[in-house]
Amino acid sequence: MLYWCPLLALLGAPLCLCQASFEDEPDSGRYAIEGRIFPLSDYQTSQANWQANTRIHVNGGEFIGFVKKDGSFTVHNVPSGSYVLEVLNPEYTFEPVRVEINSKGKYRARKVNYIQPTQVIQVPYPLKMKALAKTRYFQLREQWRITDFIFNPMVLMMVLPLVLVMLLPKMMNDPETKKEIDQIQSLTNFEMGDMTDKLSNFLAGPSTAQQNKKPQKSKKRQ
Amino acid sequence: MLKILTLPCFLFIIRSSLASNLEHDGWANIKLEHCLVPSASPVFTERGNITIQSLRLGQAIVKQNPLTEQEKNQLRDLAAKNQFYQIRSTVVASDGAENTFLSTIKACMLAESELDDKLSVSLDYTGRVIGVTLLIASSSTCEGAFVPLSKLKQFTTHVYVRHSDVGPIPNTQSYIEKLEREKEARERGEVKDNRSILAKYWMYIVPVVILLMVSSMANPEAAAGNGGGAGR
Amino acid sequence: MTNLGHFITLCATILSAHAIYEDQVGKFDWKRSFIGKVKHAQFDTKRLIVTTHENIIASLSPKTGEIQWRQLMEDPQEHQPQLLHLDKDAVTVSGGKSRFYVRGWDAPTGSLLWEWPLVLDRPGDSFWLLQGDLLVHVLAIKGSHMEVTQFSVKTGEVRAKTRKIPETWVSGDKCVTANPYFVCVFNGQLFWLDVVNEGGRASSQPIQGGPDCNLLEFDGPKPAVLLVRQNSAKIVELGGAVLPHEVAPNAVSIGSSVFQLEANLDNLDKLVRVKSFDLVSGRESSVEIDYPLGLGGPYIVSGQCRGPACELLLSSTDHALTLVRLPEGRVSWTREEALSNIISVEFFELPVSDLEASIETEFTDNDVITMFTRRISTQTKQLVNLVSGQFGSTRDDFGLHRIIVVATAVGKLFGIDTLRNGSIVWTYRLPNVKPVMLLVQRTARHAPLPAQCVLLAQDVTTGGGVLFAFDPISGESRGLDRLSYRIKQAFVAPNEDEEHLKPVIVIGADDSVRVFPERGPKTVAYVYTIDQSLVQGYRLEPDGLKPVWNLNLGVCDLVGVSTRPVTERVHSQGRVLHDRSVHYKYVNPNLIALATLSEDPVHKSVLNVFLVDGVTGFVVYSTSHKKAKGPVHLVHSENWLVYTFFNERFRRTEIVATELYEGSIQSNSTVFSSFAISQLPEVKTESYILPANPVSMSVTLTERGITNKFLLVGTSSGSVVEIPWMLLQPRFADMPCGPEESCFPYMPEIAIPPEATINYNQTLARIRKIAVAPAKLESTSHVLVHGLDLFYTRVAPSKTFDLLKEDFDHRLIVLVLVGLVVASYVTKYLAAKKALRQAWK
Repeated sequence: MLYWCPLLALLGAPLCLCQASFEDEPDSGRYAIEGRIFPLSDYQTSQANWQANTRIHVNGGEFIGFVKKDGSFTVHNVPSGSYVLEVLNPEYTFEPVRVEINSKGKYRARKVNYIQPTQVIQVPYPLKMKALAKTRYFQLREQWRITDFIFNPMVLMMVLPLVLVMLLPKMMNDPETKKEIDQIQSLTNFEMGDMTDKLSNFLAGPSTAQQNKKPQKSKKRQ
Repeated sequence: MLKILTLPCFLFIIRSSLASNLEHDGWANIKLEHCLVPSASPVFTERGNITIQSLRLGQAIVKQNPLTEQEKNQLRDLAAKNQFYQIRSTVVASDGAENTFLSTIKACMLAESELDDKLSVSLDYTGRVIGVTLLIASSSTCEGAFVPLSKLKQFTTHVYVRHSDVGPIPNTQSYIEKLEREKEARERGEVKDNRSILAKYWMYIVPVVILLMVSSMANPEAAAGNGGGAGR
Repeated sequence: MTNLGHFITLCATILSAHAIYEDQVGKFDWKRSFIGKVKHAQFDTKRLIVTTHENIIASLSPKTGEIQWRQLMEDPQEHQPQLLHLDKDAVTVSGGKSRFYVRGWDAPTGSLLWEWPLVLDRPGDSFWLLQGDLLVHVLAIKGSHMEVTQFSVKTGEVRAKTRKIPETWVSGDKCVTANPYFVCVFNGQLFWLDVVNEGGRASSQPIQGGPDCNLLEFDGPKPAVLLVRQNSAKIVELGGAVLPHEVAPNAVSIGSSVFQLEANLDNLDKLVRVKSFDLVSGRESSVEIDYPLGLGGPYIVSGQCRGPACELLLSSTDHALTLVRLPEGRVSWTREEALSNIISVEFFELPVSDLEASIETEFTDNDVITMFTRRISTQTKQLVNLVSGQFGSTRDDFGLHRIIVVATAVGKLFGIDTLRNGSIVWTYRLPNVKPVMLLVQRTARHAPLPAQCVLLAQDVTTGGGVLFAFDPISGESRGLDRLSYRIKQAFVAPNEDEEHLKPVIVIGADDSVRVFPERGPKTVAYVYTIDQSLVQGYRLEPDGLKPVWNLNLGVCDLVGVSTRPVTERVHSQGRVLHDRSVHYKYVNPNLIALATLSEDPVHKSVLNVFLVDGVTGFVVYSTSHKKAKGPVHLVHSENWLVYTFFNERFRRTEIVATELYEGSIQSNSTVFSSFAISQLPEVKTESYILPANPVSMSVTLTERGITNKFLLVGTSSGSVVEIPWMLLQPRFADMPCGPEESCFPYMPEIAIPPEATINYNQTLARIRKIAVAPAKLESTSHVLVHGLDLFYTRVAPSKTFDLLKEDFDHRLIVLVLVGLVVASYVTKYLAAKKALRQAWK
């Protein structure tokens, strides 16, 4: 028997997350994170107003910063601690940076490494944020090419039988071509025999091969 | 009647490794009461007492009275009418905290199992009891069942103390090791490659060379030219 | 090494396969941006700069109302805009309590010009005045004194030392600014002090009306305030006289004219009238405006006049923003800012067209001739429709065209079309209610019966429950029920009545049970309530609620509850292992996933996750993470649970996948009952690092559950990324894992490539929730992301395997077929010719 259990909203108990509040902390422990954004060279042309479209998020938006016209930014009112600073821009990807401010107000910036949090690769502070690349959101469509068309199985299916059905019987019926084919066959037979002959010769006497090789080299030297 | 159960692995799969993640061991005493007459305001009568001496080990002493004739009849009626059997367990923990838990099962399932039930005591990570649930091990339910009184004699209760798992953490260690191993392997591999570009692919190169030579020999003019060159 | 290489290529193919093509942008997705309820507004010649209660500064086009630029400042819960001044640049002061930010914005582009923070040593009521480049901050300490500080607005440099002015009349809540004065009403007297120019002395003036007077700002030609008593106000010029005009409290002065709104009862088409009078000439005028129906009561926020032509910006009780042009009284544009705060979302299929519905009745008649004529007429109609290309609001073949019904926090309901760039089909405003959730009583599948939806809400004044039934397709009301008691729980029962209407069961705060509609079938169901840490399970019987189980989770904060979507179907019963054996899934429809955070003296805060059976109260699985912090997001689907939290020890977000299996034997393949437990489910878990800050999480839902599952994670950076469940699925420790087993080798960090962003470069502000609904097409899910912005798209986790590819070459296949046909005829002809020739030989 199947029991059904209505799984319900809680009208009486709103879910709320207690966010850490720093209201009670002394304000002497407030610092500002500073840095500058270096856009890619094609930035200016593709986004004339990139400063307005770029934001700085510290710890996922707990603190925010805006970018001035010259690319510099300041995130104010940050207490001491460890923070991940991200530069958000819809068109460009930036690498996030971990900024650590100790209780004495000393700054250290390093690369973000979630897998090895203890590994420290320092980066200069004040931050210099360079755009890594243009963000590729889209898949590229395959281009239409004539070779694709020709090697398309359906096209092959259409063309090859046509060739076989139409041309071969005609060729076979024509007495001259028949002769020619015979000739070709005999020729190839002869050549094949020749080839095997030579191959056996070559295998039997490697010295002859060497003799053959040396003159080749000397000829090149000339 | 006293009975010490050392957790036979009946149908339940109990992972023994879990028993050890409690930081502080403690004990708990559970007073079991059940309700045998369905009503809007249920009346609970005593069923027994369970003492879990060590929450870490999960050892329990189960003390339950045999059912009286009246209780047997009531239970049979419950089962026959496909009603619910409810227990109330009052848990007194080692720190003196008292909590009451309800649990309800189908009476017919209890009767069909001949009063062989399981009591699951769930703990949180500190070892506090968060819930006590009565269960019947069965793969199907029933819609009322008539069970003779002779089969309803005595509860044979198994107590399972269920601990909270320790949450998994991302396994970065083995990944880092793997990356390092790969790095080493690559380094070694690269050195080898540098030494032996020819040696590595000789099996492809030689046939190509032979074929080239053979074809050049097959060409009589080229061969003649070569011969001429040698003559000079 | 090879394994890893494999993995990377596999991963790349899988992930990139789901990205969209650039030419698909906007083809089936749309985004609408909002700014929230407007607080301040200032006109410029080319733009309209506003700040809103969402702590946003934005520039709107006065012609169309479109957002030219928008900047989101700090979290609106703690920070609010305090001042907006538009001169050449826009200046904002925002903040709350003791922390403020003063910023200057470039009005044409919206980029930051300068910024400085201000931190007060003590909290108080702050008032701001801006004159030239002098910013004056007045901190009012009630009943004792005020502290006046002057700053240079661009640098934050203190111009004059903080002056402490001891004045007992400083009250805080009954004070306003009137450049250059700071004005308070106290003990039936009006006090004011020039805070810009030093050496000013407090002046006072008695007022009539007693203590229940209120002060409002009034930006007149001379420094003045509005003195409000009940519903009328008087303009008091400071140091001058009380003007004789009775004005409405929403009166606004533009130049020397005073504008105010009035209800217009004479003309039912134009319900609102703008009255204005000139303070200098005393000339009065009145214009009726064609204020759109369905909007709430308006008030004037701001305006500008150029000669006789004026533009008034109106906001309304439902947060709609309207620009009215005078003297025509024409509404230029309306922005439905209610959509910036959505509470509940439901997707509705459209009804079948009348034509298709008429087929149902076509064969009821016995008369052959009428049947025949009807058949012919419907077919001609169908032909006409096909030729004219009219489809209208009717169901399409794949269920891709839907109506999204949303309930907003202000109590306004919207019907939004998934196609046509999210245009609003209908709106319905319910005054004074706080919506809680939408419940679907009947879908549009039961033609000719229309769909029905119920909005569950709370009355703002009484707190009693409100049930509003409506047609989700047209937005027509089907009746409003105002209950006299509070609602504790409400849900839709699964069993339909004879009209296919699922009854809504309402449990009052006093545990009384009522069914809507009342003739609805009685039902047995299990419900649960969570009161802080006490989880209580009930069985709902025809005669009331009976408690059946309870849990006590201890002292903790409940941070997440998740249950499986009611409509979800599990297609595959197990997971096929490499040796072709099947590991059966533990699929319990009654599971409730709970997450709590509890304080711990040793481990800071501990995250506990419980999987509880909703019928028996049995804790199927529980786990705990030490040193964990919120936000916690839970998603429970099929036989698995995924949750995210912040690990304080390693300072990273982790995502944990938990999967439940029955094992190699399925205990009961036909039915599931929570009471029959033959074995405990086997639990597999795996944890990963998520290099993002999730703000919302959801999972794709398809019609039959055959399609792979994708997690949709909304991040704080404004993107919604899809993560294949396969990437998270716990691995079996002792089994090979590779492409052959369709298994990815374990990687501790989940890679989020940019191609996985379903909203590509359309950054979404303050994502709150992701609503998902299945389409009729198995491969496809509808997704609506809401927060400050609204974004709709369709996702196909296993690609659109049930549809021809969009770039499928129809011409080629036609060409080939034609070619083959032609070729066969040609060969036939040639063969005949040859046969003839041979016969002649």
